[in-house]
Amino acid sequence: MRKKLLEVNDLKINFKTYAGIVQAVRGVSFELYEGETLAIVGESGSGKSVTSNSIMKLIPQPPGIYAGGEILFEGRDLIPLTEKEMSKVRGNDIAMIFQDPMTALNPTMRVGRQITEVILKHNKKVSKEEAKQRAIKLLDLVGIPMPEKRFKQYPHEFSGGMRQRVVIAIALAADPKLLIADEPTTALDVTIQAQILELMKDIQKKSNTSIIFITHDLGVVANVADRVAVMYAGQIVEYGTVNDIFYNPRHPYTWGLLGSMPDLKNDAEEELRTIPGSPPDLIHPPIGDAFAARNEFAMAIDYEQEPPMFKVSETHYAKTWLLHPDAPEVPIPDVIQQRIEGYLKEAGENA
Amino acid sequence: MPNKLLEVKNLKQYFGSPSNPIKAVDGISFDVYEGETLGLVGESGCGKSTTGRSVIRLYDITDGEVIFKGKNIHASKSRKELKEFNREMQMIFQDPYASLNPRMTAGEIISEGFDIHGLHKDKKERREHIGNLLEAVGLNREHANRYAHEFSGGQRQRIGIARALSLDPSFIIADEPISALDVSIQAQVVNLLKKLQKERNLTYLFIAHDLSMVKYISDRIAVMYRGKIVELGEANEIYNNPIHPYTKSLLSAVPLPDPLTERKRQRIPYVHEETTEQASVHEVVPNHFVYGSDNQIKKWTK
Repeated sequence: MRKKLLEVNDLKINFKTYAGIVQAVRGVSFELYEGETLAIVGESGSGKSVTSNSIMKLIPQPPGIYAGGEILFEGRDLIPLTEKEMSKVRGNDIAMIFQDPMTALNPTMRVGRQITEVILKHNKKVSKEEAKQRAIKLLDLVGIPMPEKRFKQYPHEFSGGMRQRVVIAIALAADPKLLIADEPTTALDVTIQAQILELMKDIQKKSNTSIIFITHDLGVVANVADRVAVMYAGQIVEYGTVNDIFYNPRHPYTWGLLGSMPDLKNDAEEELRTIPGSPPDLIHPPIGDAFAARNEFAMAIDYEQEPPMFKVSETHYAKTWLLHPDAPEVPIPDVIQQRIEGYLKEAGENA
Repeated sequence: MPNKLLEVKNLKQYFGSPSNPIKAVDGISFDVYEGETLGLVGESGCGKSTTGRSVIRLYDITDGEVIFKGKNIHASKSRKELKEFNREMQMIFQDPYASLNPRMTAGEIISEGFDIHGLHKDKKERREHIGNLLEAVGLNREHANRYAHEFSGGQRQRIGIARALSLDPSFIIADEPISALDVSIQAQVVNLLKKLQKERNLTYLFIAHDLSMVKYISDRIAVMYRGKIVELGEANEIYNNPIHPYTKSLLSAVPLPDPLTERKRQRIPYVHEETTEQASVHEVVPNHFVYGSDNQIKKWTK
């Protein structure tokens, strides 16, 4: 049995604003095992970044409020920890890779020092020289050529992809057990993105790190994830293994996300399936299912009562009334079903 | 055979000192036919946005010709002629936050072109036109009085599109119009662009780095690398039968929403091959062009 590293239970996070209290995260639960990658997918405003930032306790308070729930890291709840205790967890146990490598680095500090800073801070016994050697090794590990020379350079001397590698090296400096990557490749070109994804998978294999990967790109999810959580309006609406989500999606929002991606393989001329409208206002979250107003399959109950998480299989859950035994049978929309069959057929042929 | 709407011949756009210029666009040629969408893809810094901006005269080009409807638009022109040209060719920008003036209402943004060109001076008629444009892009007439910050990213991009349409152009350059938007909103905007193209017989130059979206929206695709177009052809042809190693590398890096394929994905790295031989554009298959030296083309098509 694999070890459970992180368990988030019914997490609720609010933000106080002039307009009212925004309920950014509304009862999120998930778990993460050692050496596993969980992808959290969703649109902007769905609460995916707030969720991941809250694990690092990077939510500024005020305006942020931890309104409920717990974040158990190796069994210990992080929410009540003081800032001082938390600073030991950050870097040592949990590290973060940010979206924009252009702003995540200090432009006035040599790259090498930005790495040794982390090493020295988290391990008082290490000498400066040892830290330097380790930093050079890290630069080498993340695939930066000529690490000795690069160690002495400033961030502006690096390209975008190389800077993101430096950011990853900093995150790895204190050997964390959990790596949270918040859209680490969104600002990069596809070719560089592919390299960074390969690098992260490679590192995971070597050091058995767990990864939470935040993204809105379903292609990237299919590439990196073991399990996937789809977020909408501050809640997880579907949760399962990567195969569950891509080959047997059950939530209409997941259908919408999959349908709005053009299909490179199967040549389709039809319109893209879009999700009409825009996400709800989380100051006044809608009664019932938050997705109801944009859901073409919405039923009367969707406007009255919030659906629970229905179990599809041992690994797969979805929060939609469509899975209730009394609900009418709604199959996966044709366009998506055909695509999935196309993918599976091809995989069968190549096997 | 459809008409050539735009011809770009040996376009060069250099920046910096003349002695050591940065060759952002280094001698590219392509045609755009009436009613089609030409996709321009490449990584950041390859010169794709510069190409778009040079074509629409946001830059003074270093060398070459841009011929639009039979007229060289970079030859010195009178103010009147330029105005005419501006009505014909419009642009949609990448960032829907930076490209709308926060001090103007949506109606004012859309109708600014009317003032410049002295159109629709009658108040009622103008309001009618603004309303029609807003409806054409899927917004409400009432939105005309709102400011940009009152809209979401997708709605802002719709305002940007309405502005581009306001003077009834025939040619639109869309510079990464969807990169800043969420997936589901991207699909809405792409569907809108396709619908408008059909209704108004528009021609697009669609600049993007997202290959899957480009393939979906484009009839033909041009792939740029370091200021050159390295490959150009029908969208399906480029996707199914790429010849230039850079195109192959680019295609091999696009992740698909299909975990079984992704687990087996083999990225093809691209190593730029410097050659001393004279490189030129070869028509490898009819309407499929590849840039390279004779020997390179021989090697790649083997």
